[in-house]
Amino acid sequence: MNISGILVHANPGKVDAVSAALTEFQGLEIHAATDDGRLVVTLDCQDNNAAADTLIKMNGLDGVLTASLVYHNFEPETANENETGPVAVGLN
Amino acid sequence: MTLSRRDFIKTNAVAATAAAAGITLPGIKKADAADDIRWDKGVCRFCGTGCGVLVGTKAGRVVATQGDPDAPVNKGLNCIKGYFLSKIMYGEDRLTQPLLRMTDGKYDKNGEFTPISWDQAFNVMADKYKAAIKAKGPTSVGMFGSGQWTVWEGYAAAKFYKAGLRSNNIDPNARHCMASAVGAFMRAFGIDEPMGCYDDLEHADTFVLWGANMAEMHPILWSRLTDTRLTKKGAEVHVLSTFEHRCFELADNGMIFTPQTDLAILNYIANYIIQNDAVNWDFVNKHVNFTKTPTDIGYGLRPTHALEKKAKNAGKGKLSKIDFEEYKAAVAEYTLEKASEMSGVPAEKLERLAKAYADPKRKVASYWTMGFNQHTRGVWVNGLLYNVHLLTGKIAEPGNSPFSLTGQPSACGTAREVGTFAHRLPADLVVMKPKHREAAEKIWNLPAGTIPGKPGYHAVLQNRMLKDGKLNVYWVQCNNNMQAAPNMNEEGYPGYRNPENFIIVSDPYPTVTAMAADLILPTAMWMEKEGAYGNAERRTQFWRQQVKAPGEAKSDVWQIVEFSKYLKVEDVWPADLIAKKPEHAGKTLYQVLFANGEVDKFPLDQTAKGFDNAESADFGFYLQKGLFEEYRRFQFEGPKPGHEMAEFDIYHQARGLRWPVIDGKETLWRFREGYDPHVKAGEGVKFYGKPDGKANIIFAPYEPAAEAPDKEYDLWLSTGRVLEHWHSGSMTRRVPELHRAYPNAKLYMHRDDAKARGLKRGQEVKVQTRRGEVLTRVETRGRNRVPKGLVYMPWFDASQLVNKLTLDATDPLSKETDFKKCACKVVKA
Amino acid sequence: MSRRQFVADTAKTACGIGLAGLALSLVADGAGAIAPVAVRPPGVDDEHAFQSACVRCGLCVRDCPYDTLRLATLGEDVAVGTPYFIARAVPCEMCDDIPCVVACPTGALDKDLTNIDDARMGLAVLIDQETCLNFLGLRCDVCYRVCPLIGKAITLERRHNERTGKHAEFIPTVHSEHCTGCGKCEHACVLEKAAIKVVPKDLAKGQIGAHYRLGWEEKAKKGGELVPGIRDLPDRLPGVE
Repeated sequence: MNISGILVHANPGKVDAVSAALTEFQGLEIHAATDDGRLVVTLDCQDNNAAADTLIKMNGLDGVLTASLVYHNFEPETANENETGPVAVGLN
Repeated sequence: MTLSRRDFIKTNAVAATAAAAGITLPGIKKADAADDIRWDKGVCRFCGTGCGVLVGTKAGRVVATQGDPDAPVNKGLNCIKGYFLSKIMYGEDRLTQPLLRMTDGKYDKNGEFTPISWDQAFNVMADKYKAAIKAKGPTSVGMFGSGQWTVWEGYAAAKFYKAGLRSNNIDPNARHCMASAVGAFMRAFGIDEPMGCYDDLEHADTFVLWGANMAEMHPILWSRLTDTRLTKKGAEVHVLSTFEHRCFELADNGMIFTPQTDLAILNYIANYIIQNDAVNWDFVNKHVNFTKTPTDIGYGLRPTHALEKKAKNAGKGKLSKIDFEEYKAAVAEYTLEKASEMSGVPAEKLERLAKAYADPKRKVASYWTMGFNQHTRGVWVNGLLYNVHLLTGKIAEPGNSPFSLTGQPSACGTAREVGTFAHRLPADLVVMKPKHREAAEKIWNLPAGTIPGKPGYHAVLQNRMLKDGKLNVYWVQCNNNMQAAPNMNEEGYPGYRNPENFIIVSDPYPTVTAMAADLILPTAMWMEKEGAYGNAERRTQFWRQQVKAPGEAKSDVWQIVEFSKYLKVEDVWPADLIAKKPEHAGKTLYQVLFANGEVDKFPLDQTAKGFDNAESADFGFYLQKGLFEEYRRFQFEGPKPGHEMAEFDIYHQARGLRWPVIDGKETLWRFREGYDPHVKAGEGVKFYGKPDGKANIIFAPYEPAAEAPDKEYDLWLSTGRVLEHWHSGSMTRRVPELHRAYPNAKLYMHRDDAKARGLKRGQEVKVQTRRGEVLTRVETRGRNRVPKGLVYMPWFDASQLVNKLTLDATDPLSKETDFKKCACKVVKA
Repeated sequence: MSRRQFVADTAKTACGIGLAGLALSLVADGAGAIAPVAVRPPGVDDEHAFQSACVRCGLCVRDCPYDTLRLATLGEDVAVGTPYFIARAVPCEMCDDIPCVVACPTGALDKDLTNIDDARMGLAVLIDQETCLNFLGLRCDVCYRVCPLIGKAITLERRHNERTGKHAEFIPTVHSEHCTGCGKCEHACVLEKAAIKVVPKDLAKGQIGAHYRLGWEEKAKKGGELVPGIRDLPDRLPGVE
């Protein structure tokens, strides 16, 4: 499992276009976007190389000022997928 | 609310990214690392010390552990292996599905490992078991188990084999480890396991280590012993070994002796006690019988071996009664001069040791491990130490304690107590005694005559019988015997790869043993199942299942119980036996042994709330409780009292209890009035394992080792462990930090021995014996300082299989291998 | 674009927007924030003398059988072309025949060093007593057991564990008169960041002022009192004539 949290700064005028382009990437989700062009996205990839490639491509998108890796977690897939026990996370 | 690990990570990713951007997202908080760990009590997975730990689980994973600050054994401390407990289950190469050697979709002994389903695996196994039993009878099937099995795993396996398959060919790896101690307990006291407990570490004022490197192998107990030495006035430590190890740092009296001469030293001490009038006559007259054991008993090699043919009394151990005068005369030849000359230990050191035992004012605790047990005269040498404690009456009271330490977490609790040895039944019963078999058959609701009366093949014999084609279907669980058992080249490997045989290995990891198998079963380990271990001081400790096993991995107990569904009584029992209990006709072994109204009587809702219990969920009843409560019936209804345990549920509430547990109380010292509920008021001391309540002093002389250095093979080879790794390293070598701390085995050698062979420190060498050779590197510095003429090599390293070198000579009585003595030579690679 | 470049670029942008200090595991595993301490090969006593004698030929590096030694390149904290090693990565194995010293053509590595036990590459220091497992009472002592001069360069000093009341603590203690600075201890430390580290002797050692001497050591050195003939009068005690 390879999950990255990425902060994308887009040209404020092009947020919609950038959002649309971003969603083309496999495993990418946009969680928040602000009026001034900041987007919070996560990327769920097979491995580090795929994550790296995607991040580089993002930087090259029209309207993207920077895309920066903020959070990165990788661990073997053997970790139990479906059950986590009593994890309390505020996801109301 | 539950969520998947993926969602959990993603949530953290979003939270961190949003925080970096200065964006506040409603409802998203970073999952707090500190407060969402669930802690529950457990036991360390490694040695027999039995350190209590708390296990931290988060998002379905064991993420942390800590020493339990309130555990009486370790008070929150751990050794370096215990520090890394949380990592042992997460090696990258965990096995997650059954693998069968196949070619073109069919089983082929020379095929490649191919993933199959559990149902396929059990069907293949059932075919093999049925065919072997039909062709050659139940002695053609066998099992090699473990002192790392949980209590109920061992119990279920013993029952499955002895009651179900009617084969006594089940033996644990504890045979390599504790069998000599067991043999000596039975001969001297008629009941297994130490009379004292770890509290002796604080009560004694003289400590004697006989072939135990506690500083590395029992690090937490060593820190208790050290503390007593530091803080108690007059406390002293004597250390005996065939090479200098880290315990010598603390030793007031360190002694390096020539291998095998411990037999002479102990007889000298007995002689000293008698000559100096230090016999505790009051104790001896009331509580002791004098006996002797047959001599010239061979070395447990194949009967065709020259040494066995030469032996007059090969394998014999029946004791004959003697009187004190005969005993006195027998030990008289072991004078100080003789003992010193034979052992190479300076006379004044030996005398100082003898005085410590003889001094009525000193409380003496003796500790031993593999130096005594892995010994071709292991039962003898254990007995010779009891002689010394019995002559002086220094036994079974606080501080006066001969204490056999164990190397596995449940060598006592499982391997010894529930009957997994080839000759044993649960709670100290044996298959040879008709009364014991009868009791077992009654509790297990079996027709009379189900359990065979002849002991099965022991560990070393199993490998020989595999090689000889007499043992054809063989199941190995919870150990790595291809890396452990002696003489792998000539016995173990040819046995596993014998085309007549089908080998099944259950393991969490692809060990050397698993890779030598025909069918590998992926196994759940440690906190992936509900378990119980019994440590060296008779302390039984339980834990709950904390996490799910990866993939399709299943626990050993699940594998045994599930597989029993694939065999019918008619497949394995003769018709006349079934006719004695017609109600069993047509049933599966599962119905007879497990879903039989007894083991399945506790419903699922009694399992712990909020915890998984994979096995019970699968079978529909509280399996572990059912097995444990049935095992307890042996303790209370069987013919041998002294082994009583508390009810199942109590153990889930307690930090481990030392048996016998009677009227809600633990027993710290056995055989002594006031401490042991089986000794009545006024009896003082009673060795109630023996019919007359007396213990045996057993004379045994010095006899030479099976193989000693000669002109060609000119060095003693001793093997053993290191602190950083546990046994074959299948868990600890998968922890990167431990691997870095001690990556590969090496050969400890005296500087002069290296020089004489033109070898430099770090140089690659071949170690050769008559059985094989291994490449390793020379170490002339470091933790072990071996004397000239002896080399030491650890066995944890799968890339340097030292068991290609070791000799399969065993103690003829206990059948335990001598891994400490054979002859080798070392040459440039 | 290579992974290295990716990491570097990412690090730049991350710093650019003020994110330093967040858990950037990808970045963190690529480059250490602080340069690790470089240790010189055996046979270097004075750093300045060494630097002026070393011709940067690399022969010591070539002859090191364990690939311990490396040559400093541009941008490192060590003089370019000179040999050094990082103990946490690959420590010195203390070869009996000291091939690096033998290979040295100029004597920058002192030819008089023939017994590797006399080497003083640096000094091990148990820097963090708060995370060292043995200071916490656990039985790790891995640094002690990997020490080629076990029992001399590192000893375990025993003391009572006040918290448990029944265990001893084994405190790893480095003795500078024996420590060669080989770095086996730092390499083997099981913590995520080593609690014991090899540092240059100058950095590690304090020095007592020449104006003060340790009385008991001076007495032992002389084999008797420094000022002989000082008298004592007996104490009056009850019952003693």
